[in-house]
Amino acid sequence: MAMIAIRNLTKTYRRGPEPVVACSVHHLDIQPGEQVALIGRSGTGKTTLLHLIAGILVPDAGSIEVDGVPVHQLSEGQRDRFRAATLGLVFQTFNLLQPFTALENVLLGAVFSQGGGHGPREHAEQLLQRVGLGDRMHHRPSELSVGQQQRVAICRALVHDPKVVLADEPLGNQDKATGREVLQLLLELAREGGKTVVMVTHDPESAAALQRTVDLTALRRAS
Amino acid sequence: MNLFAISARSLRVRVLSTLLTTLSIALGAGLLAAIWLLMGEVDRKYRTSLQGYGAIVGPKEGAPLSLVLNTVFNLGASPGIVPLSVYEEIREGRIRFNNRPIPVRYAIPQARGDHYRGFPLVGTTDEMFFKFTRGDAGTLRFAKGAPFAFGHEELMAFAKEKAREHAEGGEAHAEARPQTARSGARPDHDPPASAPQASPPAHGEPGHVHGPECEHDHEALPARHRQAVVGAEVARKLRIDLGYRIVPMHGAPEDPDAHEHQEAACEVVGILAATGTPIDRAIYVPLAAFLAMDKHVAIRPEQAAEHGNVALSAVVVEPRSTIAASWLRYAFQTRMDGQVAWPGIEIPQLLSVVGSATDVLRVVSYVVLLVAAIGLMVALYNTMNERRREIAILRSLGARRHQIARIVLYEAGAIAAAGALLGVALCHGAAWLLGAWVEHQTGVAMDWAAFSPMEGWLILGAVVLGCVAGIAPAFKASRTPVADHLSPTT
Repeated sequence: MAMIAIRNLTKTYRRGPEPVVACSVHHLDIQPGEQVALIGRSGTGKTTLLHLIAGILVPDAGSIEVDGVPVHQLSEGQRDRFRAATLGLVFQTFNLLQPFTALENVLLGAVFSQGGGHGPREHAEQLLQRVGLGDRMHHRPSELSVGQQQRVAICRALVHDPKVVLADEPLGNQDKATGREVLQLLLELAREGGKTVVMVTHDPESAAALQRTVDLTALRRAS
Repeated sequence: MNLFAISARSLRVRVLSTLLTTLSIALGAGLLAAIWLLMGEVDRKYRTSLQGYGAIVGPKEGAPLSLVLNTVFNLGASPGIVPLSVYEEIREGRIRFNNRPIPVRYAIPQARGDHYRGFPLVGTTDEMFFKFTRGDAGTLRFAKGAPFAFGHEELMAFAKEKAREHAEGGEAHAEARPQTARSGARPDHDPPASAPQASPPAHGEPGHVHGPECEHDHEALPARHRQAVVGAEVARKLRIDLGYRIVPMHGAPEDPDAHEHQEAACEVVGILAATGTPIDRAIYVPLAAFLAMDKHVAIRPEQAAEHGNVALSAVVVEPRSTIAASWLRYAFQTRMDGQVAWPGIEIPQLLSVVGSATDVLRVVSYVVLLVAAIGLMVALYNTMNERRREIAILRSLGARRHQIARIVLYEAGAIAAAGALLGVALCHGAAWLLGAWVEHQTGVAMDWAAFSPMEGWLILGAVVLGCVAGIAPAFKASRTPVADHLSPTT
């Protein structure tokens, strides 16, 4: 069974009198543990597709199943719980919260799935040490480099041990060398945990590092 | 890491806004706590101060409240004088109602006027220390020393002696200074307008300077009558110990007419234990010493023959029963030489008038608290626009709407709780800092460490109010669209 199964998915926005199709996918399956790069021209709905998979947005038509859960049928609260338990998100702009330290930012990833306690803290510390930030745990995001911030974001996405990691252009804000390093780290950690990775990227070189590339422009045309 | 921690961190980020909102809550809560503290202390003080003063028999002239305030609280001037015979009648059960004697536990004579370094002098008998009973607290206890030796019998003997002096030569003395009718307090030292001014002023007259010629007065008063018992606060503030010499003074130090009564200087023989009442601020001297002070006599020809001009400011009476109290009231309704004032009636009436003013203050502080809560709501509500991305990130991590709302409600509750705690702390801090000044100005001693259970309710109420104020911002926060605000460009 596919980890992510999408069928006849459509998401439209109303901008002015005419509805605009933001995302349209006829058929897409992603297998458990698979690492997939989503590419496509701007406006093809890459980020929208990630948000739909994450349950942040609700499709107008079609279905999305993640780990056998029909995300499109869940209520908002159920989607939140599902997201907290099953998904890890990495953003282009890291989306770290400035008032919190690196360790606290990582722990935020576990607050809504597991609550507080010592378990997540130990795991968060291990992850930060694993990505080379053992000595930066108590630094705030503003005190970290861009690459370090993205590593913190990756740790936050993995701290609650999700089955799927969704990454939205995680390398967009970094230079090539740093981006490559961060990408390797993300893929390595995901592979170690047997996690499914769906990554939006514009960079063909980054896309090539993943097992499969899905061109949303082509998918859209097909649908 | 939990929702409380997230709230706390959010508050820390907006430290200035948080502080200002907290301060505004603190202002309202502090005002309310201060009013409660003050009113609680006033109520407690008045309640305890009234113990032992069942009824006060005083001069017919003047309002009963003035008599109570002067006798119990050492406030204002004595409204006038009451003949010694009234005291005698009450004490000996000669005052009757429906041909029945009115039973009293005690009747203690008091004469007031003059002071020593701002503390009032009260002329009385030793029954003030043996019989005067402050409810469960019992009679007055001594921290040091013992009562002075001047009892009822000596007072009567003293009065008879005065009467004899009056009969023998008092007429001439009275003719020389007929204007010296006194009422026991300050006004009794101010000569009536009709007073012929001798030149130079006679002993005790305004402008008179005490000198060696006054020595005969010293000698006239036996040493055993020149003793004093001081209240706990008098001893503490003036650092008085046994053996200390007190020289009564008339008039404020800056008053050009102020003068000392060397003729009635007394030695401290006893220091009372603290009572937390105006007794702590009084100096008790034998009535003989008090009346030996120049001009502390009453010119009432009909009384002078019997008691040698001896008169009192008041008689403190404790009727044996409620019925006895009623009889006393009826008995004095028809008398012209005195009236009965009931502290237990007068003071609650006074407090009800003062209470109306405090009700206004209380309403004002409720309004301040409410305005502060509205300020809290506005401040939080306005930050929701700045925090949309933060909220969106938390939602993307799986935070449910109600969890986002709880984070905001915790912030509102925390600000309100901190504000209320700060307000209560400020109130007690101010009581600690300004307590002495307030006591000096109003006579109300505030115990800064006395925490009322109401303050617990105030803090709880403020938290509830804060949470209510946080509902609108929390609702707004929980409705933040996630996808629209995940990117900084949006």
